[in-house]
Amino acid sequence: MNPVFSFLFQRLRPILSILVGLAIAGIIMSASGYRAGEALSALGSAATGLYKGSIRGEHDWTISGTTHLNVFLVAQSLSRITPLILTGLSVAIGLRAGMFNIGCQGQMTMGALAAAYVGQFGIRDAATGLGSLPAVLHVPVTLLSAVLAGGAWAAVAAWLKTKRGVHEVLSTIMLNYIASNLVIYLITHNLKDPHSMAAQTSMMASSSWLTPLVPGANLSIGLFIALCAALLIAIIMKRSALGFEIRAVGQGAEAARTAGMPVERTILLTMLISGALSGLAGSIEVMAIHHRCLQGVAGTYGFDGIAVALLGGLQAGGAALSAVFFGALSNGSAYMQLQTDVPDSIAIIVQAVVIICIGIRQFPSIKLNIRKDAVRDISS
Amino acid sequence: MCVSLYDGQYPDYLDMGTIVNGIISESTPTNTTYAVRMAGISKQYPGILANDNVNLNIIKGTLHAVIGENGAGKSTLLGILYGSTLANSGTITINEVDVTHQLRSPADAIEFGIGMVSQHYSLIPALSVLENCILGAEPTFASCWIDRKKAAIKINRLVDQLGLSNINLDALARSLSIPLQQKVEILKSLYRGADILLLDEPTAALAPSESTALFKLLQQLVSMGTTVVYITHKLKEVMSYSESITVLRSGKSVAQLRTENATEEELLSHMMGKRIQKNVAALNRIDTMGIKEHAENSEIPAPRMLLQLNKITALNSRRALALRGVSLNIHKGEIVGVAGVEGSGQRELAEALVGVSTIEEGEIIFEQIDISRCSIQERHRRGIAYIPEDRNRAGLIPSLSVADNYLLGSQRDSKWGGGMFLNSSEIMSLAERMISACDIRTGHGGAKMQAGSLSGGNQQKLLVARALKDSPQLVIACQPTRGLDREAAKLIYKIISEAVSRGMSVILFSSDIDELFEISDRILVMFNQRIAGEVARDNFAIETIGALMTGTSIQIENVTPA
Repeated sequence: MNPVFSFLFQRLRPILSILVGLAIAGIIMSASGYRAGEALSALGSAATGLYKGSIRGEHDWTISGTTHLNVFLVAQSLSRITPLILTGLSVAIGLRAGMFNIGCQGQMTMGALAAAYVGQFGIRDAATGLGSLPAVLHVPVTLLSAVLAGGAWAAVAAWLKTKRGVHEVLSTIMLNYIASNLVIYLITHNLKDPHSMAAQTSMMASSSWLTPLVPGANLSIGLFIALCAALLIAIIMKRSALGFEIRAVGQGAEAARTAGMPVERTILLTMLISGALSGLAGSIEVMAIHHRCLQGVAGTYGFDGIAVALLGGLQAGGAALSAVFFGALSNGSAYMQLQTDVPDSIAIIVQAVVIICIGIRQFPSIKLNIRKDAVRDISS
Repeated sequence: MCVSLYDGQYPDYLDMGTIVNGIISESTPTNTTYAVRMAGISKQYPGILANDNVNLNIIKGTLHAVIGENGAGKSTLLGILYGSTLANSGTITINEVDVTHQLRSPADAIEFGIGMVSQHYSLIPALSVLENCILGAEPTFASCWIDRKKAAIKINRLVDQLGLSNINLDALARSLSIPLQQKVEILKSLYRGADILLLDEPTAALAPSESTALFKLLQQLVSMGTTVVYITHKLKEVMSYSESITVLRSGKSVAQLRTENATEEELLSHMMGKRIQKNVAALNRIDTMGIKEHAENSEIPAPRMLLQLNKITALNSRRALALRGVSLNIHKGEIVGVAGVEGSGQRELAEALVGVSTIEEGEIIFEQIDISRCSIQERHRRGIAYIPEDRNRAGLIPSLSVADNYLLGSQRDSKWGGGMFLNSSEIMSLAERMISACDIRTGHGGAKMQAGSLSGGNQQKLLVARALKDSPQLVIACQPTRGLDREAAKLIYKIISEAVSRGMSVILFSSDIDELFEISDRILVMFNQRIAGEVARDNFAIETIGALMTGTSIQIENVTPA
C-alpha cells in the first residue's frame, strides 16, 4: 500500500469507523421505515445541544443568528461522558499492559457501593438529617473509598493471574457477577434504606454530594475529576518508569522479564490503577446523580469502556475523545427516541459497527491486490 | 574396500543399482531396491543455502542414520522428503518412482507411504491415543460416524505386532510420558500405512535406557519391512543401530557409508570437516608448543574466582531433567566457551545462571554469595548480564524504540531519572551515544526507530550494548553472533573484548565452534545434560571438541574431565 495513504488511513481510522457506523445505522433505519435523515439530525441535535430556529429555553445560549445551544442537553451529554472517560481509561491502561480487564463493570459497582456507604457517614449526627462533615473532607474521602474498592476488586483478578494462572478475562467476568449480586444482597438486607420500600441504600449525606453544574442536569465536577485522571494517566504512560514498565510488559512480557523487569508487580499495579479508575467512575455516578447505591448503578458504562478504549487507540487522550463521542451518542439517542420514535438501541448498533471497523486491519489492501493481479494478467 | 570421501556428485551408473552408500561395491546384488533416492537437492533460504546439491539413498528395509553438526541441513533434508519444505532443485524417487513433482505437501508424502516423527510431537493433548492415531484418517460408517471399533482393531493389531503392550488406547495424550508419546507418533504414522518412517532426533529428549528401547522398536519395524531414517548427533547410536549412514556438512552430503565399514573417528572427521590422518590422541600430542607457553604463564598470580557452580540440577518445562549435576568455575576476566550439540543442556544452564529458571539442587556462588534463589533483577543488580539466544522474544521488544529497548530493565536506576519519572532527554542522548559507539545502523530515526525495523546484526549489537551498559562483572552470552555476517560478528567480539579487558568475564554459549575457538580462553563441552569435559586454549582441536560433543568412546587427551 502507498505509504502516505497507509499513514493517513491509520490516523483517520477512528473517524472513518464512526462514519461507517453512522451510515450503517442510517441504512438500518431507512430499511425499517424510519426517516433516517430526520432521526440522525435529531440525534445530533440532542447529542450536541445545538438546534436551529427560534430560541426555546431561557437558559439556552445563542451561538449565531438562528443557531442556539441547549445548555441542559449539553450537560446531560457531558454527564454521560464522565464515567465513560474513566472506564475507557481503565480498559486502555489494562490493555497497554496486556491485561484485558473486562471487569470494569464490577469494579465500578464496588466503587459505587463503597462511596454510597462512606457517603452516609455524618447523617445521624445532625438533627436536620444533613451531613455534619464538611464537604471538603467528605467528598475526597468518599472518592478515595471508591478508588480503593475498585482497585481491590481488580487486584483480586491480578492476584489470580500472577499467582494462580487464572486468565483475567475469566476472573473479571466472574467478579462482575459477584459484585452485582453482592450489591443486590446488601441493598435488600444489611444496607437497605429502612425508610423506603425500594431496594436501595439510605440517602448519602449531602456533604458527600457532587453538586450539579447546570440546574436539573446530572453534570458535576466529576467531569473535571475524569479529565484530570486522563491527564494523570497520560503522564504516567509517557513519562514515568511505571508507564515504561507497563508498555514493555504489554508488548513483550518475556523480553521484559529476561531484562529484569518485575512483570508480576507491573501487572498488579496496572490492575490496581485500572480498577481504581472504574471505582472512581462508580463513585461519581452515586455522588452526582443517585446519591445512593441501587441495582444496576453502573449501567453499561463498564462494558462501554471497552469500546471507548479501542476507539481511542488505548491512549489517554484518545479515550477522552472517544468517550465524548460515545457519551453524546448515548444521550442523543435517548432524545431521538422521544422525538422520532426510532428506538435508542440504534446507538448500540452504531457503537458495535464502529468497534468492528476499528478491528479491521486490511480491507484497503485487498482491493489493491486485485489491481496488481489485473496488471500482471495484462502484462503477461 | 576403499573408503571414498564422497564428493556430492553421483556418477551416471547410479541407475544400474551397483552403487551403495557412495562406495562402489561389486558384491552388492544389482536388484537392490531403494525406498528413497534424493539427488541434487538444493534449498535456498534467505541468506543461507541449507541444502547444497545433497544426495540421499536409502535401501528398502534398512535403518539409515543422517548425521551432521548443528545447521548442517539435516532437518531441511527430511523436511523436503516429507513435503513440508519444497526444494529449489533436485529429484526425489520413492520406491523407484519419480515423485519430484507430486510430492508437494505432507499430505502427498503420507500418500506415498512416508511418515514423520518430528522433534516436537504433534499429538493433541486433550485427545486419546486412539483419536490421535486416526486424526485426519478416521474410518467411518454411514460416512458421518467415526467407526471407533474398526480403528481400535487396526491399531491393536499394530500394537500387538510391535509388542507395545503398555499403550492404553483410551489414555489421553497429555497423560503420556515422552517416550510413550513418541511411540504413539510412530503408531500414528504406521496407521496411515507408512512404510518409510522419518525421525528427527528421536533420542534428544530420551534417557539412555529409553533410547535403547526406541531402537529395539525401530529395528523390529525394519525387520517387518519398514524403512527407517533418523537424524542424530550421537555417534554411539549410529554405530550400534544403523545399517548405513549419510553425513551432511554445511548443507552438502559429504559421505555415504555402510555402518559396518565406518569408524567413529571417520564419521567425526566427515562431520567436522577435517580428515584425520592420525588418531585423535596423536594429533593432540603435536600441539605441545602451547602447553609450554601455558607453563610459563602459570607464574601469574592465581586469578580471582567470580562464579562457582556446585552440582546444579534443573528441570525443563516438561519436568524432565535438563541439567544433571553441573559444576564449573569462572574466574575474573576470562572468556569461557560452552559447546555442545543442541539439547545438551546449554540453554538450561544459561537460564539457570541468569535466573530465568530455578534450579532444583546445588548452589550458584557469585562473589562468595549464594545467588541460586535470587531473582533476575537481584542478579542483574549484582552484576550478571544476559544476552539471550532468542533475540526477538526474550531479547528485544520489536515494537518499542531502540532507546526504550536500551533502557529495558534499568528504568528504575537513578541514572535514568531516579525512580518515578524518566529523564527522556538523558535516555535519548545516552542511546544516541551508544548507537554511534556500537555503529548501529538505525536509519534516519536514530534512537527513536523501532527495534524491530533494524537488521539482525544491528539488533544484536543493541542487545550486546544493553547487556554491557551497567558495566557488569559477568555476561552470559548465548549465540551472540548467530545469523550475523563476518563484519557484524567481529564488531560484537570487539565490544565484548573491550569489556573483558576491563575485568569482565564472559560465558559464551555458541554452536559455532570457530567462534568458540576464536575468543574463548577455555571451552567446556556439554553432553547429555552434563559437562563432559574441559579443553584449555592450548589444546583446542576440532576433533577433541567434536568427540566430547558427540559422546564418543574415543580416547581423548588434553581434556580435563568434569
